[in-house]
Amino acid sequence: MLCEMPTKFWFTPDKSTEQMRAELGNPNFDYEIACTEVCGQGHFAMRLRLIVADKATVDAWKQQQKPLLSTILEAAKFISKIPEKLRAKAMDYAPYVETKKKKRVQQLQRVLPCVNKNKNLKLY
Amino acid sequence: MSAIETNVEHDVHAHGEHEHHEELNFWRKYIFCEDHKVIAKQYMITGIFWAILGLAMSVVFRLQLGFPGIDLTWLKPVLGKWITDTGTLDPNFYLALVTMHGTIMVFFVLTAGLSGTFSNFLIPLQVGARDMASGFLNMLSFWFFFVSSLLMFVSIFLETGPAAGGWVIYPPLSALPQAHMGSQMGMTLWLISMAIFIMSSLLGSLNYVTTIINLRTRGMTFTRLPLTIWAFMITAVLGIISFPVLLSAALLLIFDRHFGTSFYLSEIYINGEALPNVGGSPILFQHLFWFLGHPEVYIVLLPALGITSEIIATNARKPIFGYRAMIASLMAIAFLAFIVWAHHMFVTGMNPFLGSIFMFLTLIIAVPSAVKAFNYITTLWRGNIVFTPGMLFSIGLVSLFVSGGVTGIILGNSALDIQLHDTYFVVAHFHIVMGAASAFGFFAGIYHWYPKMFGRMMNSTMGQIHFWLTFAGVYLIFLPMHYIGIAGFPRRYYQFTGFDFTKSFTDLNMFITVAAIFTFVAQFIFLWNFFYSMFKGKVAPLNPWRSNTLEWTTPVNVGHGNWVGEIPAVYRWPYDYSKPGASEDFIPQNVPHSQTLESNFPHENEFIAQEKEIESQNYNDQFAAH
Repeated sequence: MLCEMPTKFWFTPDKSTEQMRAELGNPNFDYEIACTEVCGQGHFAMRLRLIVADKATVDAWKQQQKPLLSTILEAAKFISKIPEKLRAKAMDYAPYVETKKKKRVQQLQRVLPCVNKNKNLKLY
Repeated sequence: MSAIETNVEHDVHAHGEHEHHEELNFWRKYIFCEDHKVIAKQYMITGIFWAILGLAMSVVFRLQLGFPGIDLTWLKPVLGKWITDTGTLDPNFYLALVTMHGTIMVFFVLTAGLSGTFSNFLIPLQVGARDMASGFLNMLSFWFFFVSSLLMFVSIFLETGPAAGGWVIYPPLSALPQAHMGSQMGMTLWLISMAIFIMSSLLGSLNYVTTIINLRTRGMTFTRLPLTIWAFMITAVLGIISFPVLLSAALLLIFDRHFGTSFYLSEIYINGEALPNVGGSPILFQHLFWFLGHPEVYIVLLPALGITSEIIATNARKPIFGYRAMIASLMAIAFLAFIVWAHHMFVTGMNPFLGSIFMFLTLIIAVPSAVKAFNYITTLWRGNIVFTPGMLFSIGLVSLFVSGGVTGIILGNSALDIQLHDTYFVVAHFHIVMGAASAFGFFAGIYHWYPKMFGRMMNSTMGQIHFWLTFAGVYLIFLPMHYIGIAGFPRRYYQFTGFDFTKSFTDLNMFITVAAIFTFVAQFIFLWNFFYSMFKGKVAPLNPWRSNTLEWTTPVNVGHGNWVGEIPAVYRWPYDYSKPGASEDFIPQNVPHSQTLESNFPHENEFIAQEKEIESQNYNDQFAAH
């Protein structure tokens, strides 16, 4: 896998992190992802924790998350950096208006697997 | 055989005798020498020097891997600031070490050291030529290699260290000097050194092919060539086709690094800064690199297989099983070598359908490889095996070739490769099938042809001890490595302590390191034997292994021009061992069928009529007058 070149990869995990923890009797067990292609000095330390959970847990977790853009947009500093003519469009992607929120999340779930194909959604 | 008019002009006597030109001075005789045997020894000594350095590097990084954070203060006199104040190995230098280990072992030891030594030494001697087609180009080939070696050696001492992006030097890491210490001057020198190395390799390969095609002696048809020569020729052809592609890849990388082009770079951010490069693709580099990189593993392996064929037949006292199948399988492997490169790139994001095609082509290599493995085994079957050190190493090579090949079938599978890519499973696989197997070929060749090179015998007992220690050592290192590979240990990691999944394998990693040190130390038995025998070894008889090939018809101490008097003519293939009816268990190639009526097969009696015709040819003696 190469930098600046997104690659997609699907697989179906058949044991969640919790199940695996129970099976191994190790409450601290975690699935780990390691950087594969040598990328410089810190290559050996590029560890990613992967949590496998059932859909309900994931959905519940998602509900708690605040979209990144919404938090940033709250800072007036950032708004001022967006060119005038694009500001309205940017606001479009800021789903912090209560009424919009539910719809956004649903949309998000639907399109997540193909993030790279849909340019508009790159912002998430 | 075709009549060759284009003989190399030699300033020699005007008749066919060779009691030689004026004595050459020291420089012309040992340094800038055009004699293929001296050039072979130059390659061998340089190769051995690099092998010691490359293996020593592997021991240093194995220490860090087996015992993370080990106190290496005792290496401070050698490594200086690369040992940090706390006594540990610098992570940047760790990457430099694995990169240099790979580059040195693949290119300088197993390409130049192996092909350079044995192609140069054996081609003229076994095809019956006075020297290479062009002695001058041959000399140039070695000295290009020397300059390339020198540059690589100098790069090790740079303040920013040598190249450190892995021996495959993938961009963008290798293309951006600001990305890593090892991508600065070290990378520049790596690229220049490799460019010169490629020129050296091409000069050598062109010479090998030309010599084999044009300078075979009378009667030496292609089907009477020893399998060593077939292997060297096919190896040279592989090199001629694939090395220029690496040169182009290296040149484009130099352009990207120094002239602002974007062949391999596109839309890169580094340290928060956007670079201007647009439109390139790092995948392009991988395609170019592996178009050489894959044939390269066969450039490394095939000469070793050729050497093994010859030594196994000689020491099993049996004709090689399936001579033509051996040639055909060499050709098949060489052909397939060019259409499997993308199996190194299964997980780069290339089309999975393309992956399936490359997987299919890759797995086909198992067929000619199996032909070779079974032919070795059937040659050994019920032979009167003589366990010389050379023979032991050849049999060891067959073992490694099989056990390393089996894991190749696993890795060739594009689905399994998702898990195994760039793990220690790959490291174990190619170290066994390419590294150790080719190194065994190198050892086998040295033990077998040492009497011809230096006129003395190496100590056989020491050779056997060296074999058993090395053989056990190689398996002790690389067999456990498969397991940590399956467990998911990635390559080129300074340490694994940051991950939980690696915890239960700490002992295994420690074990591998101890085995590596053990094996490294065992090589000093060989070194002692090698240098001691050069001066104090038993003086070699004319044909110590009772072998059929032409090099054993030369004097014990071979002079310039190889044969005193006429070059012998060839009447038969090189594998007439234990022929029914013959008084001896071997009949050299230069014995005509008319002298072996008691052992001739019916169809061989027909060859007697051709003998006069063969003897009347003498086109290929480079030293003879025209």
